Amino acid sequence: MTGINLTPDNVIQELQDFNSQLIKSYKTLQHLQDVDVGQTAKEEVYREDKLRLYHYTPDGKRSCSTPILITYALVNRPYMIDLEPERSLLRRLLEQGLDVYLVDWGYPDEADRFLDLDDYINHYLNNCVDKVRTLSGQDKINLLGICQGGTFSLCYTALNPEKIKNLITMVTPVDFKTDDNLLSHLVQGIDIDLAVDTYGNIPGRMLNDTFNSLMPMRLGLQKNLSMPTQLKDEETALSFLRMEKWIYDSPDQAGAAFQQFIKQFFQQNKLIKAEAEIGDKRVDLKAIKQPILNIFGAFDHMVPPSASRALAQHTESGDYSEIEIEGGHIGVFVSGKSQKTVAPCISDWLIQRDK
Amino acid sequence: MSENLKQPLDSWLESQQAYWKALSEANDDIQPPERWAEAIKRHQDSSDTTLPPQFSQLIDVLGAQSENFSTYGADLLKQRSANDDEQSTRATLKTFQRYILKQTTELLIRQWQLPGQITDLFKTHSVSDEHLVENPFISGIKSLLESTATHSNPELQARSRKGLTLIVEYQEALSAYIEHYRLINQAATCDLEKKLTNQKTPVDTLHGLHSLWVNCYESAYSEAVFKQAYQTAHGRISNALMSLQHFTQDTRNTYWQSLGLATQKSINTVLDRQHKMRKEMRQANQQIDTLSNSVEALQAQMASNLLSEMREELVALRQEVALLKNKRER
Repeated sequence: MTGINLTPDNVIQELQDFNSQLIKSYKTLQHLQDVDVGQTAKEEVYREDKLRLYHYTPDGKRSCSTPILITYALVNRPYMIDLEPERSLLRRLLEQGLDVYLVDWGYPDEADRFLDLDDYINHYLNNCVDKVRTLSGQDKINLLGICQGGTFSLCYTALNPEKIKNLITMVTPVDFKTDDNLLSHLVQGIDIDLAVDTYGNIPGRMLNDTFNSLMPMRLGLQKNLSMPTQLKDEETALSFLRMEKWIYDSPDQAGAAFQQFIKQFFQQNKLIKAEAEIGDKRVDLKAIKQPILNIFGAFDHMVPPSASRALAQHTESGDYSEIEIEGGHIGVFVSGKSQKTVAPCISDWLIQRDK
Repeated sequence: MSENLKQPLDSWLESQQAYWKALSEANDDIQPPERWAEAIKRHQDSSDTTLPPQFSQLIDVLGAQSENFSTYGADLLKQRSANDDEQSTRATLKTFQRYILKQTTELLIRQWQLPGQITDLFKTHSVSDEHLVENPFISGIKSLLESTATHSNPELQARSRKGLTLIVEYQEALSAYIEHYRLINQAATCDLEKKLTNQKTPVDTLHGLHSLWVNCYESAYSEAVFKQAYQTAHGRISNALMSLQHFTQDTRNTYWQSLGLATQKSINTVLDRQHKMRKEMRQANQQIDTLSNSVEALQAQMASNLLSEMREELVALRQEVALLKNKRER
């Protein structure tokens, strides 16, 4: 076998370099104080239980008279869209002159174990939509849902079409059982009732482990080995640490909502069969006639493009558009390329439909 | 970083370098220097600044990775000095596989951790141990399950039997799951060997070897996890682990109940009732809102009707007065 040519000198040099970088990493960490995320100025305009609704004022003149409400997933925290000033979809939207509101679901605790999808969608989200309508003086608002938040937005719009003007979904699963959806395959054999019975709220770290298990070596060994390079100086270290902070900042999931979401959506794929039930209301995507912009990542391993693309066939929207971004599940929001393209696309699309 | 910390770290780096150099020169007598994690811990203990938790965790991860990487590097240097080229390449690969297997195993252990008390029962056996499933402890449990328990009340017997059955199921599920990982590792190793044989430029860095391995592993992993057999094994180990955890909680609850303490179950009942009441209250509030809106609308309508009637009456009266005035003038 001739494929390896590791000379002792090279190995020593590499080990030495690795350890020098470790020392540098340690020195960098010693100098850093805290990892700040979500730095864009905001105003809390509504709160209920652990939920907060924030308002972000656009830079300069408003380009769109209708405000946009962003709803993120329950899994992970919404500051993914405002990680740092240079990697902030939120800032890019404000720069485009959009009036933005953001739902922060908070961190559920033991007392929230029985919160279900009815509470999240028919109550909390509905109250946020009504609040934005009142504050903006608009009968209908624009709704943008991300990942699971996108699925919530679809359910909400189908149930309350009179309140939504335009709908944007980002990296949103719609068909939960496409062949390439690994997460869905892994979830099929799990006894969700037992999980909720055992844990109550589903621990956030368990979900992290599951997400990491989709690419265990790349997200484990390889990431760890490249970490000293990421921590070589303060600027790159901060950027890396902000992302790390977000990855491991995983709220526990309210047991009942998690149970309903996994069973109805992942295991039974009810959303595309018009069988999903939120409270006592059945969700039929055909009730959605609003213009829809569906944005997804070409290399998304959590929500594969096929899972998002399915939306095209399941609504009655006569104005449906898709944008595929060259990136993964998170790259859609933070990559350098997406920073230049995504917000202008959203803004142009909304302005054209702001009559 | 203060100067008093900088110097020891630089000395640590120098002692590392000296150690590796000695190993490459076939000097096995040299003692390994202090491990990075220990060196950092010592420095942190003597430092007056406390790192935020996120940084401390990161340093732990870096420490573990440094340990693995350095140990592998040291093993490699020892082998390189002891073998000829061809032997050495084979040995390099073998060492690499052993080192990678260790990390994969650590990953598995972290992922499928048992409740504390039960983990203690298995402390003598690692997941890569061939006696993991049919070890004397498990065999003992199995024979206990087959025997008739005496000198114990029926409830306790049933509970013990259930617990033992769950432990056996967990062990079997874990063993089936580990078998998938063994096959994934095997496929990745075959692929790595193939790639190393076929590629034109040899790998000349440890990082290069790692990257190639990661690609081979992810490819083998991706092929395996989309298969039904893997998904069944994944579901089985997940459910077996949860069942055991649930059982320990249940046992704890029974004990608490016997002491007259509140159990998790009773707390859940209260929370569930409270949640239902909140929903009912919300619905009641919505109904009240709807009703008050209707009442307001009704009142407004009645007021408006009354006003219209009065207006009409006023007009009629005015007309009457005008008529009377006209009559009088005539």
